[in-house]
Parts: sequence; structure tokens; C-alpha cells
Amino acid sequence: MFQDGGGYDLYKNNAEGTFIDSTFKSSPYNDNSSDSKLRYGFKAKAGWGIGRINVVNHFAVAQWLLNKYYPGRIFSSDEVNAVGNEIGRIKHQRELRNGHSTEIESEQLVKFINEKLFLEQPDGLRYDWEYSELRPRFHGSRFEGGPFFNYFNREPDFVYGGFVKYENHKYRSTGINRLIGATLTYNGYKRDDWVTLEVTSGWSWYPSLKNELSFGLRYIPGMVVKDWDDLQPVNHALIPYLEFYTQMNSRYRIESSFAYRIAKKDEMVVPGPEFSVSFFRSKY
Amino acid sequence: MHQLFRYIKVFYFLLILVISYTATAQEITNNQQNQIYIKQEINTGLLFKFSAEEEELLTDESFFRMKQNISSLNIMLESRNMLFLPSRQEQWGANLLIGPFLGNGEIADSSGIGFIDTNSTPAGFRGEAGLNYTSRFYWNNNTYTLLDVSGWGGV
Repeated sequence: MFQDGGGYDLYKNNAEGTFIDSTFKSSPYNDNSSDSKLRYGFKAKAGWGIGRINVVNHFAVAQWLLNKYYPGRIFSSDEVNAVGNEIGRIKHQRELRNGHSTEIESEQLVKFINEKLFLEQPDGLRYDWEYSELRPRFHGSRFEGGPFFNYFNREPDFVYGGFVKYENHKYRSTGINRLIGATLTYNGYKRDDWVTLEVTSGWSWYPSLKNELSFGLRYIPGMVVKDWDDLQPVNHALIPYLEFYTQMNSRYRIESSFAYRIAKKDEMVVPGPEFSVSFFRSKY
Repeated sequence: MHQLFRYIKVFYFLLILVISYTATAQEITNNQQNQIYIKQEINTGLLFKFSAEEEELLTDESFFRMKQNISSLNIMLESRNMLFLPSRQEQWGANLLIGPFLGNGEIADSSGIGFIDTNSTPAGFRGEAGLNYTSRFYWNNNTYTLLDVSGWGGV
């Protein structure tokens, strides 16, 4: 969601280096000045697709809770789905303005498990219920494509073209999710066009209900297209990434990500590290 | 043109590899109940970011290039919303970031007057706001129309 490159910057810049004039005479350069910079952009894409990716958080939480509170018992998919649907019914009644009571919600779920699955009422389920607000976990696949354009008030300013994208998420167990995907994009620009393929493979590991550790690799080959009979050499970029998310309690979260862009200088991907960490209070 | 065909062959090979890898059994049924997910959240907090940024401007008379590593500490306010139903899947959100930043890097600026090559260390405040909306409208259980728009800029 957060874009790189800034929005409105108000800053002081200290620049030291050399100035070479038109007669090739070199002299020291020193500039210490205040400046401001406004950057804005707009992206749009439309298209068609087949397939469906669902969010399976309620199913994952149901499976986790049933495994924890009824160890040794084997539950059918129908039973897990039934509890997942009840979790969804409870959570979907929430209103952002009014808030919600974890005590009342967990009691509703305990009552459902007791009355519909004829199981003993679990003790301490409220504690786990508070930690059941995972980031979206996806399952399914889809293939989509269509036209797009990006506008940015710096170079490259107006880029347009088309894309096709395949994405597959697999819910493997309460502890593992897997992602693979590929996007092929043709970018038209006022100077040269270029083509990129982005292939992603990643996994998310959930050691407990409240923690998520994701890691994976993106491979981005790309090439400049001056003419279809004069294709330029393919550039390669490799981006390993690592993400961490934890719920400290029912309200406070830490979200962190690290990626290292391995690429040659002055090619399509800016090389170097990228890191972010946020600590925030979540109202839901 | 033969180069193009070679790249297309590589792409097809990767696609077949990906599809064969994903053809495994699924435990979760794709029924209507499992297609429903609704969540709205508002997050407030602090965000620290570090990343490499690059800008370039090339005209017939001049050339400007800036490469910088920027660290910023921001107050963060954001809204994330998901509405997944059998008939449509929508995600929308907004964010606001404001805070100090510090950077270091290189600037190369060439024009008819001359060529400037410097190390630069900017320091100041940055404000950023963004909006995004994605919709997949399903015509049946499996086919949809996509719309994805986002905008961002300074505040």
C-alpha cells in the first residue's frame, strides 16, 4: 500500500562534489539549500479473469482451535467448515464504530461447539480468540489479464500496456500457506518499450495462532524492446524477501518486511535493501 | 524475431511447470460460505522505512539522475477493508504517513552550462497519502471483471 519515492518532501540538502563547466574546467561544488518536492502518481488496470482466491482465515482458526482444545480427536472437513462458518458469522456482525466484545464472541463460539458438535465446553478459548486476527490467508487460483496505465510526475511518467497474471495460493495446514505466481507485463513508453516477467514463490509459516513468518523469492527478468527484430539483452533481478507479523494482544500489532533487490546497476530494478517495520494499534 | 520465439518458449515452459506444481488436492471446499470474508480495520501507529530511491530526467538538453537511500520514521494512519462475497471481491483502503526523513546518495546533473557530480545528504519532513480500490465482479462462480485503481501523493 505504501509507495516508495515520497509524497511531499520539505527538506534541507547538503550537496558536496565537483562542477565541470563547458570548457572542462573542474572546481569544487558545495550547495546547502532548502527545497521542496511533490511526487504523485495514479495507477489503473482493468481486465477479465477466471478462477477464485478465497480468504480462509475462519477455516484456519477453526482448525487451530479444534486441534488445540480437542487433541487426539479427528474432525471431518464438514465439522471444521461448520465451526469456520460460525466464526465468520460472529466476526461479520462486528461494526467498526461500536467495537466488539471478545468475551461475548468467544462465548457464542463455545456455545456453538457445545450444542452443534456435542463437545465439552473448552476452557480458555477466549484467550486464543483474541489472537485470531491473522493477516489474510488465501486459498485458490486465478488467471487474469487486461490493459493498464500508470501515471507518475517523474520519469517514466506515463506508461501503458497490458498484463497477464497467474496466482495460486495453497492452504496446506494450520501452519503453512504457499504462494506461487507469475506476471507478464508489456510496458509502452514514449522512448523504448520494455517487457518484464515476475515470478514469485513464497511460503508463510504460522508457528502459533498469533505469529506469521513469510519468506520467498521473486525473479524478474526484463528486456527493452526497441524493435521486435532488435530485442535487447535480458536483465535479471532476484529479490529474496522476509516478512514477520505478530499480534501482541487483541489490539497491538508489529508488521515487518525485508527484501534485498539483487540486480545490476542502471537496469530495470533499483538494487539494494528495503526494510520496514511498523508498530500499530488496530481497531476492527 | 527468432529471439522473441525463444523467450515465448521459455515462458510456456515456466507456465507448464507452475501449473503442474499447483495441481494438488484441496481440502477446503469452494462453497458459498467459504467465499465470504468481511473485515474492516483502522490502524494507527508508527512506521519506519528504509529503501533505495532513484530518479532520472532525460531531455534533449539535459540529464539529471539522483540515487538515494532514504530512512524515514512516520506517524501512520491507515484503513484496510475487505469484502469477499460469492458475487464480488472488493478491497479498498487509505493511508496517511507523516514524519522526518534522512538520506544519503549521489546526484548527477548535466546541462549546457556544465556537469555537477555530488554526494547529497537530504534531511527534512515527508508527508504521503494514498487511496486504493480493487474489485473483482463475478459473472458466475468462476469468471470475473477486474478493476484496480490507486493514487498517491503528497499532503
